Amino acid sequence: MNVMTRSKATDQKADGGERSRSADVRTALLERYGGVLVLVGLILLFGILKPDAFLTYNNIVGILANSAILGILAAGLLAPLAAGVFDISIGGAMTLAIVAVTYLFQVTGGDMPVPVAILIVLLGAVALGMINAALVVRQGVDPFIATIGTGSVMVGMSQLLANGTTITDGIPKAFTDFGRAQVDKISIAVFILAGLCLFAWYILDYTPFGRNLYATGASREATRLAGIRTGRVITIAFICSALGAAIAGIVFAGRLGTGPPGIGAGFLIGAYSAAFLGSTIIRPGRFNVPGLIVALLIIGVGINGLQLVGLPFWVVETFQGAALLAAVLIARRRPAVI
Amino acid sequence: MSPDGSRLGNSGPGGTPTGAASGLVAERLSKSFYGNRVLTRLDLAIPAGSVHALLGHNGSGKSTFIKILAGYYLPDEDSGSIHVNGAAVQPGNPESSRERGITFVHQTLGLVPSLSVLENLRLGKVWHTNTFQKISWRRERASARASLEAFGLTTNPDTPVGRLSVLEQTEIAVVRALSEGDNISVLVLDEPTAALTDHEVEKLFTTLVRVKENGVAILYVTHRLEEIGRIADQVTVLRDGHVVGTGPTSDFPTSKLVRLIIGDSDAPDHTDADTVQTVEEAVAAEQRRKAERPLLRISGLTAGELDGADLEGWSGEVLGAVGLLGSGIIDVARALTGRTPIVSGSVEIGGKEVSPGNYASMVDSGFGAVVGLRSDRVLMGLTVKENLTLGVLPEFVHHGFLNRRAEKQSAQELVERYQIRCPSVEAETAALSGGNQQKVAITKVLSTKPRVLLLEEPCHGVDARGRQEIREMLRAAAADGTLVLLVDSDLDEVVGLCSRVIVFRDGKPVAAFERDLDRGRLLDASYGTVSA
Repeated sequence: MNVMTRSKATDQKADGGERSRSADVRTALLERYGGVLVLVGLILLFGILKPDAFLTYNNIVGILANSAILGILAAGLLAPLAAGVFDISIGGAMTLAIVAVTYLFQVTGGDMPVPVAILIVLLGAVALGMINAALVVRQGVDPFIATIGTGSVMVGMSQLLANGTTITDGIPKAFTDFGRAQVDKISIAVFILAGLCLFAWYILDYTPFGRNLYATGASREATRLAGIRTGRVITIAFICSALGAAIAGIVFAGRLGTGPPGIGAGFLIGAYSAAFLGSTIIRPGRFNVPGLIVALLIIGVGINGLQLVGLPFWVVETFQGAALLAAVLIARRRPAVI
Repeated sequence: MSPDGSRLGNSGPGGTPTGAASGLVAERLSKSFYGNRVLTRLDLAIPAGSVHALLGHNGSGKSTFIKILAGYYLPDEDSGSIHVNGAAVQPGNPESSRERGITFVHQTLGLVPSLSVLENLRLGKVWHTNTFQKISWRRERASARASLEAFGLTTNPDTPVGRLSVLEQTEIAVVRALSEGDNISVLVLDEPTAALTDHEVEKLFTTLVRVKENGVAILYVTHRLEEIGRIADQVTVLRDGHVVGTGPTSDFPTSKLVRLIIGDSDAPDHTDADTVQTVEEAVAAEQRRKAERPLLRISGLTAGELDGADLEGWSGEVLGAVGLLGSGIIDVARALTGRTPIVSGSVEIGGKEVSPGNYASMVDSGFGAVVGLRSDRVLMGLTVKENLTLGVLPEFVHHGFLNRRAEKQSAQELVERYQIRCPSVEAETAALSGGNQQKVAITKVLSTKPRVLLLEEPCHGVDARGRQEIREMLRAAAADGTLVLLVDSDLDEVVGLCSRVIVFRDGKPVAAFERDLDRGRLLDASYGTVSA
């Protein structure tokens, strides 16, 4: 997807150009690691403003825990974004995952083994991914519109299952033990996120499939003409984002111990903010994992810091929205002057 | 510069234009892209009320010049000027070009097929409205009819433009261009007759004579040499961005024009022993073919404008396929790459049937293609390295991990071997010049070692040196046993490169040339005319 990418042609004259090498290197470094500088700046800022509250182990661990679920969602989202398609259904998918996994427990009176329940939800996510792909690839529906549709359908289905309430009965202790597990107070969600990030990084940077994702995003037709099965690439991409949403929902429900409907919508914007902001960092112009991690931390630290300083509930969405706008503005490159 | 059109060349007078100079005066215009000169000190003058033909190969700089006139491109700094009736046009400013009275009919005509003639004529202009800001359709229709009648046209203003014939559409485009403003002084026509029959060309010329008699200076760009004598007073030939000949049409018979366009320096290329076969070689090739099975066989292919087309190609040959717009030639490439659905017929590679609809399987069967827009040939948002290795990435995977160093090395070797000019293999492909992007596209496909390589206009937008390099790439591929199938509208390229050429007309092949391969015969077969 070339939303972000327009050539910095002026910097890369084929004949070598007149600009000095060092100037190019300096601006390139700044562009790539600017986000890291922002993160460091925020940490310093809040460290100075509220040292007792901000720079404590508990607080840091809390930031990580809060960002982790969003991170899992965003990590799955990297696949379709790299392939040049929007998946708006991840909000609805996460909602349905939360409701479905708790519903499975409630309806079996807590007898269903936790791994089985999780597996069923994950399989459902795979099915969702394939439905999204079928709409986009085979039927040629615009991905944005198709996934708004499927997302809404899932929200509806979760409302059906939840029957207007938050599911609280029958949640086995094993499930909440899993969701609230910690190592040195670091939530299990963080470890799951770390594992997913490593896996995503490997796929994107070290496998042909990852390259095919980026290629499909750069130009689906050119990639098709290179002999790559772009339909398959997009299908797998949609499955990835659906699985990401499902895992995020399962962990969230496990941590909470209940299945409130309608949670996913709030995470949708955050996931996109993190993904887009991440695409301007470390590997600018491309959706990438290290950039995503830095972006998640920027958003997490930013929100936490602002809350500690005293800003109330509205700071969350505001900050996420601002981060998304900042990302898009930064990424807008100077158009090439011919 | 004087109205009788005395010679201007690269070493022209270079003086300031006088206030009395009428028509269009372009002086010393140069244009470069990324250090690559595509236009060098062009001087061109068209007196009011005359027609000036502009000829040149693909890539000679014609389109670049027109885009400079239109304000779309900025000429190189401190390079030259454009004046219309003595008034300067501000370079790089479309508004300025329009204000000075330069108007255009581009190759694509710029009409909206779903809108009516009337609506197209008024595109971008102010409508007649009544007091309530409601469009006064009656007045608009009358005004449109009047404009059309001024050119002897009787088209109904309410007809959707898409339903009109190509000739009528061209005429509408001309009328629209001329009603742009009150002071139209220069009309630029880019290949207006490309898709017209001889009879229709006559009709268009009648219209143009009328325009000329109104005092408009007409710049007429065309590939069709036989038209020059009929409509143009002056002619200028461009080659590789330089003016190589200019003057009254009467001084330039067709043979001289052809020599100027192709250029004597290219002649050795065309008589290169590798491509132009002697009679003996051609006979030997034919006998070999009778013994071997064709590598590519297309049978009864109906797709798009193709109507039951048959075609065979053998390993190791450079096979050309040419034809005019409407002959179905475009659908040869489109059908083979799954862009135009195949209604009936079959395609076989190496004796096995393949289905272009599932293009990935075509590639698996040894097919490779460089077709379509520039953005379909290379992935602009990826680096040069990533483009080059796209089709063969699994080769660099060891123990489940992509060996990035090996990949980069391989890309660097390719860049060096094929002389692809780029700052590094990690550069974004969009930053390369058009010619180098083409080379990346071709190299990318060649690295998958295809058995059949289909190329559409591979040298489009490429400079002379790049063309030479691409030609060598293709010859080497054929020597390796690849069947190179070249679909190109540039007959000079085709003649220079191909050992055999098939001409398409009316949806199927109508002629094949091998020993008797020359441009004139190809043109005749394309048009269906018989030369004396």
